[in-house]
Amino acid sequence: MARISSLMHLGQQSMANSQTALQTTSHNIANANTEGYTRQRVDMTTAEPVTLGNHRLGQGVKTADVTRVTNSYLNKQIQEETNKLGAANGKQSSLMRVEQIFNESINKGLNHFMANFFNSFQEMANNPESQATRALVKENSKILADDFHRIKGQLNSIQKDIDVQLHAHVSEINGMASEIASLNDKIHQVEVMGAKANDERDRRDLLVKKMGELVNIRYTEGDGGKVIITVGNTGVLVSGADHSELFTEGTPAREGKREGNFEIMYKHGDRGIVHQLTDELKGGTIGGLLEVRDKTINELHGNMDHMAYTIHEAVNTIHEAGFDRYNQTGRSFFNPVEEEFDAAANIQVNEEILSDPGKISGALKANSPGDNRVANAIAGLQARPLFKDGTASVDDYFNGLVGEFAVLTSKNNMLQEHQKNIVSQLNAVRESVSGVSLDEEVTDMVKFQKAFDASARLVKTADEMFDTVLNLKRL
Amino acid sequence: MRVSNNMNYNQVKSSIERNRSETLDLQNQAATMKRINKPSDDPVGTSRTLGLRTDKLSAEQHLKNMEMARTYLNFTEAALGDLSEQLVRAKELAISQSSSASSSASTRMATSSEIDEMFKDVVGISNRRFGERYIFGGYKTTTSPFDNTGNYHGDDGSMKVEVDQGVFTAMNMPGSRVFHGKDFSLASVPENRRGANTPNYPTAPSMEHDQEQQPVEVRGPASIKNEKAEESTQGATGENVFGVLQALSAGLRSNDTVAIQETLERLDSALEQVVTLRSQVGSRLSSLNNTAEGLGKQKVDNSALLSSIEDADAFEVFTDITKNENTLKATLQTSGKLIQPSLLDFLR
Repeated sequence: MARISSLMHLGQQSMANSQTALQTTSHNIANANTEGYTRQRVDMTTAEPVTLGNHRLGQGVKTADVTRVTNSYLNKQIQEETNKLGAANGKQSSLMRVEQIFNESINKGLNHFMANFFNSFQEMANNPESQATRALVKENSKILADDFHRIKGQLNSIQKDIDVQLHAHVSEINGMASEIASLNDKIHQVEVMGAKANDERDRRDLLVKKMGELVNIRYTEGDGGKVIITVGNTGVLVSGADHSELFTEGTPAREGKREGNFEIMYKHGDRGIVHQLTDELKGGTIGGLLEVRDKTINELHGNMDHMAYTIHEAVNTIHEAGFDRYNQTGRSFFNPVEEEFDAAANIQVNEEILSDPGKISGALKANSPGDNRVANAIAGLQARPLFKDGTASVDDYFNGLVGEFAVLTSKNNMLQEHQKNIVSQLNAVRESVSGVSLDEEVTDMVKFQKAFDASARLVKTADEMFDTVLNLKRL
Repeated sequence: MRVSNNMNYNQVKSSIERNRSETLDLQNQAATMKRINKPSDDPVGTSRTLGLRTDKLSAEQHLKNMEMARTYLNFTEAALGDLSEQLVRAKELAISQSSSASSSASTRMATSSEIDEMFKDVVGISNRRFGERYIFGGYKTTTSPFDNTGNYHGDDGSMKVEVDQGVFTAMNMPGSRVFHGKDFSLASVPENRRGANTPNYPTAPSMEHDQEQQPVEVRGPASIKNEKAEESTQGATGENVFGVLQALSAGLRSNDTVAIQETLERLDSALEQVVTLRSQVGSRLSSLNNTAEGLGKQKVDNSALLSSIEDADAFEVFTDITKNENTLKATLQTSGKLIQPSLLDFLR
């Protein structure tokens, strides 16, 4: 036989349950705009019924769990695609800056100065006796050398800027690693008691996603809900409640890396073992930045050096055979550069020529002030196939270079756009599953409020029933 | 599909962002009126514009070179014209004094001194300067190529300037050819200027080879001078203008009609030599004019091509901007309406 007190108890429990649901609803509403938040739901089940005679009597409701509505496979996919987006982002920002070095649609650049350099030798061939045409050659050669220096300097400064960014990102990663380690600990403590550490898990998922945007990581959830995060292939960054550190260090040049550029190092937390991690970092913003710094820009360095070296060598060979106004021969036009490495930074017009342009050789024969053959020969270098095994002139080489770089940049721009769309699509899917819909929450609020009202009425009814029972005697 | 609030907001945000960035790009194009504002806008186009700009600068330089060559050649032609006039006059005098009917020993004596004056004039012509450059000195443009007796101190250097990619024109005529008739038989072969006129200029790989070929030429200035002076007289196959005038003057002074008649023939060949060289200069000039025309046209074509590659189509840009503006307005309007209502507005 049912009891009135049980009715009252049931009403009270139902009220408490509705309150829990309302609490969760308000938590959802409050966090509607929290980054990485996953909406939560109260899992309700019927309370254990009792057998009374021939009947199983329901004992109302109980709250089984508060769970996150999430799709862990989707989260993994988002993390992977975000990693690719990070790489494209990292590349784009630096490629855009490199692009400006070679942008001649508004400013004049190397292409223009090179044409002027060779044309001024033609001008000198027109009138080799004149000091004015020689001064023009001097000026234009100086501008050409300066522009080589400008390009090298800008390439270097972009590499340095990338180093600064790498340093900032590395500190970010360290901060995240330590937070993830402490979240690991907290989640373990909470979940060992049986509850779900929803908000902590949300935060940790978000941090993992952000870390994945910066660098390529692998992560697995081990026992007790702790994740193990490995950066690159060997850098175990977080393991349980422990975390290790990355740091940057300017080191000497090595294959694929220029002198002074930062190496990313891994230091194991307690044992203090340090090893280089740079080569293992392929994806994410850091991977993208490293690729631009060590591959794209170093290639450009090499190309500019090759160009400067070849021009300097070809011009000097001809110039040294010629005679200047003072019938002297054997003078080099550019100061001889020993090696191709950094030739574009070291190319310099001979100081003697800078102080007296009369020392530019124009003649192939001594005592021939009107002889312009050497000047013509140097001017003719512009069209000579000095590059790519005798298939490309200096203009072809440089224009091809700019073209190739532009293709690289525009391809990356497209990739970035594409990747952005993929990530935003995936995020939309995630939002669809895990995001908070205010309309839904308000509906829930009304629903649970009504349930609460009804439960309260139940208690009241039970109370009235008690009254009725107690008043039986008086009747 | 379940739609969460953030999905709405994100969509509004991203569509506005996309629209704004397109508008920014279009505005940039409208401001610069250029389709290519950075290399990645059009990699192939960028490469081509770089090449075309170099071509444009080269064409400008070639036009300058040509202008220089043209004035130089014009000046040379005028000098050759004066020279042939002098020779014609000398021939007239020689004819008038060659027969005993119209002349006598005394007229011959007088004519002889006139020829001597003429000799000085011809020396003057041979030492003409354009600016500060002696035009008949070959490469030796800063010292007078002929002395008072008509000896040559210049060389055979031919000053070539590039008038088109790989095409060179000599802008001078060395005095050894004009006045001493050096290599005249060679010179009388009609010049095929294009291609054949590519100068023997030193090049990086063939440099040492060149030096080996002409060991004397590149070394010891003194030896060159001597050798050159010898060469210019010994190697003469044409007529020595100064020699003819000297022979004529000597013949007149010694009243030797046979000698005078002999010089008549030589005067004829000297005149032919000068006229032939003058016509060579003339043909160089006319060919320069042709090249200039071609180059001018090429420059225009070049600019047109450059513009078609890198310039924005104004009509298209402005149409696109208007289109974009409308899309942006529509997005903003619908977003404003969509974001606002929620269930809360209807629960009372």
